[in-house]
Parts: sequence; C-alpha cells; structure tokens
Amino acid sequence: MEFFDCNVRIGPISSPPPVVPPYECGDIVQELSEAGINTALVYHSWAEEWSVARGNEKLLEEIAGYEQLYPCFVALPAATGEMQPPGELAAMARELHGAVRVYPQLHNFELVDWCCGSLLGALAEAGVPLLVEMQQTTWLQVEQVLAEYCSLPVIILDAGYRINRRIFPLWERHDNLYLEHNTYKPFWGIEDVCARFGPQRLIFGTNFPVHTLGSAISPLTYSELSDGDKQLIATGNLRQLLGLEGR
Amino acid sequence: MNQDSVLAEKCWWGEALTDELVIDMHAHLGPWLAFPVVDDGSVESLVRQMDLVGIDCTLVSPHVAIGPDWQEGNRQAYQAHKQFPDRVRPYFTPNPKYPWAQMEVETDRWREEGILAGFKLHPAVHGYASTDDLCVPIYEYANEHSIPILSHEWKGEKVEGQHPLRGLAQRYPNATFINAHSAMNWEDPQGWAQRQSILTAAAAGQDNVYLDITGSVMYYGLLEEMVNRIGAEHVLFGTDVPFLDGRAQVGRILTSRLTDDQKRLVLGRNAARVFGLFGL
Repeated sequence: MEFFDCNVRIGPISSPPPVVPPYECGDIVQELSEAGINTALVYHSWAEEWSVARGNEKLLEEIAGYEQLYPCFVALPAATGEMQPPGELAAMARELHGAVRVYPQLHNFELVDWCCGSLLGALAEAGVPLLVEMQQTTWLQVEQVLAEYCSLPVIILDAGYRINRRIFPLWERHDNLYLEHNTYKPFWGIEDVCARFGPQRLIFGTNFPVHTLGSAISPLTYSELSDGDKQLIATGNLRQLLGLEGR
Repeated sequence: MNQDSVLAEKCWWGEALTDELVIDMHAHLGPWLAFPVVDDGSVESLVRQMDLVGIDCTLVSPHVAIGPDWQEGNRQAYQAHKQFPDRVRPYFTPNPKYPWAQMEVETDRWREEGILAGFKLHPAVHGYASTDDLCVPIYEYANEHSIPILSHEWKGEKVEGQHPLRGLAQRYPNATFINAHSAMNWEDPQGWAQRQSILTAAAAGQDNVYLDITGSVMYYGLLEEMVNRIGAEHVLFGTDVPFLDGRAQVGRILTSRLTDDQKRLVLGRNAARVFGLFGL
C-alpha cells in the first residue's frame, strides 16, 4: 500500500519526551520511507511554538529538495497583519499543493467568522484544505465554519475515539468535513464510517513524530475494507483535496 | 521501524499472525455510556476482529462489570467464555465496595472450574485506591491462589512519589500485579517522563509486577524505552476492545524497534506465562 500522511511535523520542540523524536527533515523522511509512507504534508514546529511567519518561511527552506513533502502553512487571523494577506497565502498554498492549519487555542484567537472570515473565505475560494486539531477548537465552531464555508475542506486532526455522537450528525449535514484517522479508534470505527458515509471522509495521518507510524498503518492493513477503499483513505482522498489527482 | 522484522512485514501486508502466540490480556465486552459501540461490543464481533489479526485468546472484563454491576458483568464474562471457550477467558471483576463474601463464592466456583484468568480491578471507575483496606480480602485470596490482578489505577498511581503496586507486590508475593494503560500520559501533552519513571521503577527488579501497554495513544519511542528499562519480559499486550479498536496497538508493537523475539514476548509469551495459558 502507498500512504500519504496529512499530519507530520518537522523541527525541534520546546519539551520533547525522554526519547527525543526525530526532527530534522532528512531523518523524518527516512523514518516515513521505512514505514512505506512515501508522501507527506508537513508543518514546522517554529510556526506552532514560536513564530508563524518565521515558521512558514523555515518550512519552505527545509522541504526544498524533498519532492515527497508538501507544505502545510500555519495561519493567523488577518487583522493583526502578522503574516501575508489571506489571498496570497491561499494562492501560494494552492500553487504548491499545500494546505493550512490553525491553532486558535494556542495562538489566542477564535475560529469564527468575525475573527477569521477573510482567511476562511480565501481558503474556501482557492479550495485549500484547513486542518485543525480538535483540542484547538470546539465542535460548535467547526459546525459554523462548515456551514458558512461549504466549499472549504476541513480536516479534523487528533480528535480521539469518543466523537461519534458529535461527528456523525456533522457528516450527515456537511460534505466538506474530513477526519484524520490516526486517533479515531472506536471498535470497527473505520469500517463503520465507510459503511455509513463512504471512504471519502477519512484521511490517513500519523501525527508523527509525536505518535508511532505503525499504529496508524495497521488499522488500514488489517481492515475489512476493499483495497480500493483502503487506498482512498491511505492516499487518494488527500491527493484529491490537494489537487494532485493525475500527477 | 525495524527493517529486518518478519513481524513488521506481516503488519505492512495485513497478514494475520496465525503462526504466532498472541494473547490480548486487556479487553472488555458490551456497550459503554460515553460513546456508541459497534455491534454493542458483542463477543462474536470481538472474535471476528481477533481472527482478522490472528489473536489466539482474549481476556475480558465486561464494561458493565467495571461500571455499575459486578454481578451482571461477571455473568456476561462467564457466558462469553462458555460461548468461545478456547478464545475468550474471563477476568472476575470484583467491586470492593460490595461485600467480598458474595464475590468469593463466585470466584471459588470459577477457580474450581479452571476458567478464572485473574482479577480485574478498576479503582478509577469504582472510586477507591488500590491501597484501601477494602481490597485486602481480594489480595489475600490472590496471594493464596497465585492469581494475577490487572488494575486500572490511573489517578492513584502516585503515592508519596511511588507506585502502590510495588508495595502490594512485595506484601503479596504469590499474586501478580499488572498496571493497566502503562504507556499513556497523565497530563503532560509533550512528554511522558514522569509517569514512565514511576511505572518502570515499580516494575524494575520486581518479578511479580508487569506493565500493560493498552491505550488510545501510541507515543513514539515509549515502548522501546519501557523495554529498555524493565525488559521485554515485563511488558504485556492488550487492546481494550471494544472500548477501543484493537488494531492500532498491534501495529505499534509489530513495527516497533524491538527485536522479533522481544515482540513475541510482549504479544503473547509473557501473558501465557503470567496467566498459565497454552501450557506455558
């Protein structure tokens, strides 16, 4: 199977665990490759933990020369002028087949129209996916974004396994909602989602190097899904969202 | 990932571990209040997933037993074993807040039938500490009959900076104490240093303490570091099905940097020894 990982971090972090995980781009690529993950959407730790603008610049420097890596820029609300205008960011992300992720909780803003409207609008217009960890927002905010910007693909990251009573009603209403499969671990969860809503809703992601790679791979390789559905989750859905189909 | 690992290769291809000994020593059955469970967490559904991965035997304590009704839960565990005698073994799940005498009768019956896998304690949900006096009859029984105890301790894991199971293991040397969910974090979102220090200190050099790595989050490098500190002989595989799906945990072990021999210990050989299964 081929895998395209939507959730990989490069760069050092402020408080690593006792076994410091790999953080140099080359080391990350090596580990991904050993696990059969050929392609990844990556962000830089600087953008999460220090400066969004510097982190995004650093990201582009670091992944230059790695054609298997695609950029995931971190974004802020436009009003404070801390980074390029949303339209420019969205155009750059689209051109590079990248995406954008936000940290409303950590970076102190609200993922709602009055705060992020111009950013969300620009991303929706360009068709650039928005990624957000569930700990950084609320389901109420996610629902508002999905409803207001129905052409904006929203990929929920690190949502855990206790979410079906919230995400199933959202999937019934919104076609632009996607879920990273890594921490989604309800019993037979992947098969259940595919039976109810189709395989297009799930995106392969590992949260590497926080989490192990193998624990993200085995739920697919040991699933009862058809090979075609497995491949959609492993690579196809994300490739389509990033405009990479046929490339 | 270990490139020379036959077991990692099986994971990558989704090949069932039919020629390996695999024992899931931490599982449940049935529905749970916090989220829907596919197939209501039935034993048939559990065995279907065991077959997909190649798990030989699973040790269960039904959700209702770790929740409100130990009697109903133990009845379900017994029934599941009768339905799949070679594949499912029951924990007896006491709730120490109820009279031990009543539970002892049932435990005796299971032990005499030869089906008792061990005790499952759930201090976290049942609202007590493993060091409380009300647990003493259970420990004395386990000590007398050499019974393993799987304990979901969680918030009670720090008692004056030490894990209580080490002291209990020394006081009741014929019982085996297994700490559930040992590869998870407490609060720290980045590191797992503090909890691992306490857990591995509890197990190191204490023959009757084991760490169970069941959990919903699989941190990079943690399993390898745990094995580094206490040896693969003291680490046990569990899935938490149907509270969780079991397949991520399997992949985490199969693709780790442990040697295949270490993986085999964790996957089943240790559990066979601890629980007296498969002739080990």
